[in-house]
Amino acid sequence: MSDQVIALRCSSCGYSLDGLNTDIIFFCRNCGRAWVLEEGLTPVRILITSPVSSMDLYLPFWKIDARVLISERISRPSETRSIVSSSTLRIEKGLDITSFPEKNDNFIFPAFSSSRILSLGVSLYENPPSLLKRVDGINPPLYGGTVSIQDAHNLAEAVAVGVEIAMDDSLASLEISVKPFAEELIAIPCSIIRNGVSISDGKAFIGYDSFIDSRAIFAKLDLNPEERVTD
Amino acid sequence: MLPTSISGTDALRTVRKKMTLKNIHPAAFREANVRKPELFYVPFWYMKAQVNGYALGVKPKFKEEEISLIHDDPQNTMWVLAPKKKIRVGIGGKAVEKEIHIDTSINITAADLEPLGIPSLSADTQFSITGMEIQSSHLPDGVLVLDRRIQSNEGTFVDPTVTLSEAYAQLEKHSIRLARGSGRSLENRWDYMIISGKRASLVYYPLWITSFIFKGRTYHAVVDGRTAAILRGRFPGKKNDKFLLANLAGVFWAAILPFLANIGIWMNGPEWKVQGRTTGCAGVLVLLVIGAGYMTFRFIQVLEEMAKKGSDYIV
Repeated sequence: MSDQVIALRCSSCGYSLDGLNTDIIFFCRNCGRAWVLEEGLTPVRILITSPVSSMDLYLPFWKIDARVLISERISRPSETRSIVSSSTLRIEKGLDITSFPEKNDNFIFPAFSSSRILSLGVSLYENPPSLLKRVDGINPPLYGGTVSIQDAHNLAEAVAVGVEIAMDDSLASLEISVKPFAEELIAIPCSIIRNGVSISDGKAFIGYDSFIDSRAIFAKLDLNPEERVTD
Repeated sequence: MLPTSISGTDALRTVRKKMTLKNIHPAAFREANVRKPELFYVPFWYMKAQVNGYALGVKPKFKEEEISLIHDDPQNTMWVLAPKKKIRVGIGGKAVEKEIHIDTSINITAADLEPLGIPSLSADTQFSITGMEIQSSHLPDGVLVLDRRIQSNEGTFVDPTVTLSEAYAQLEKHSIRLARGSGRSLENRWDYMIISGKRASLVYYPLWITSFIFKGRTYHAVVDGRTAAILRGRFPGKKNDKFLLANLAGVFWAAILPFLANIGIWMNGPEWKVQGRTTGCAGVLVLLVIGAGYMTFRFIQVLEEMAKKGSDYIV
């Protein structure tokens, strides 16, 4: 069995890359480039957004641009009396079938492990971060990137499904095609609040319990959430 | 790798101790020629993934109703009113949308351990393996990064025969099966799931294999390098079989001898006539005795084969 050993060094400037044991996304603290571990280290665009006054840390998010085509969207009323049952068949009535033309869309969701990755993606779709302004010259320490590019493409489709589910009606089924054509990482400023982390000035929230690597990230950044909690 | 927590001497001691059990041949402990135990590290794939998605459907609503029943009487002459019965009647349903998130991990046997008598771990494994620390979804503490120093100094590392793609396929099967449990009670269900964060590690698990020779036969025992339990082994059992063989052969001959004697007497009486000529029957009798002797010989051979296996004590 052959082992492939990959040196964790920035292929651009040679600076040593640092991360957690579970990380596959690495940020160069010297030149600010980002790398995703696939067959080797693959470069990926990164957008460092403006810091905010109350922020404690930056967390990595994926932004996936994609062509979205919903060829069939079937919804049902939230309460129905229309399920007609016979001995062998249950037929649902009151379904509404629609379709939409293809459009360009983008989805932002965590590049770190979270049990709420889809619902966070839906929250950030409905309330997109307003601070998406590239800032040069800042190379903040970023840890916890565990979502690969391929997984990010798949998750973008899942978030698109989640966006349809989050609409006012009740979704029954969906035929959707999401074709990503660009991806980049965004470092979004976050602040530690009671029981979790507020993302992008309160646009979204992630509790400690659904934040899989929070302890490791806080330890790496030398942050103690208990000291920084504000109501 | 999970390093062995017992030495070869400990493994030997475990096997020796087993030999003192009452089901084992009493002479095995004294007379067995025990070889030096060999340490093998057998591979397992430790696979992790997350399943994210949604389950949509209708949660049916019911109401209970009491209805009257009638049935015809046994003579089929009239209808009889039966006691009322409660039934559930569907009155529609409520739309349900559930988000699915499952973190899953599974250990998959990466080499064929069946020849050692150890069942494989896979996506279909339902039961735990008694005596082993590694189980279907549990990776023991104390995993070390395998470095060449360890690899060259201790034990034989068994190469995996289950490919990574096969292991990933099993991981997906396992993960989807778990995720499908969400929203199982929904009707007109539609679900959407993706598997992400797939990670694979090769974990080497220590097994000691001890061999010993007793009365010309070689026996093996597999000792877990973590728990010191005997996972699988064949030990010489008590030799009650010789008595069994002797008794069976005795019964056989006791049953057949009067019959042969009878034939002998009968053959010495009326003479056989073959093609109009009188002939003696001694040759036929000899043939019968040889046939019976041969059958007995085969019978004992078969019983001996059975006894070799059947008398062993198997862990």
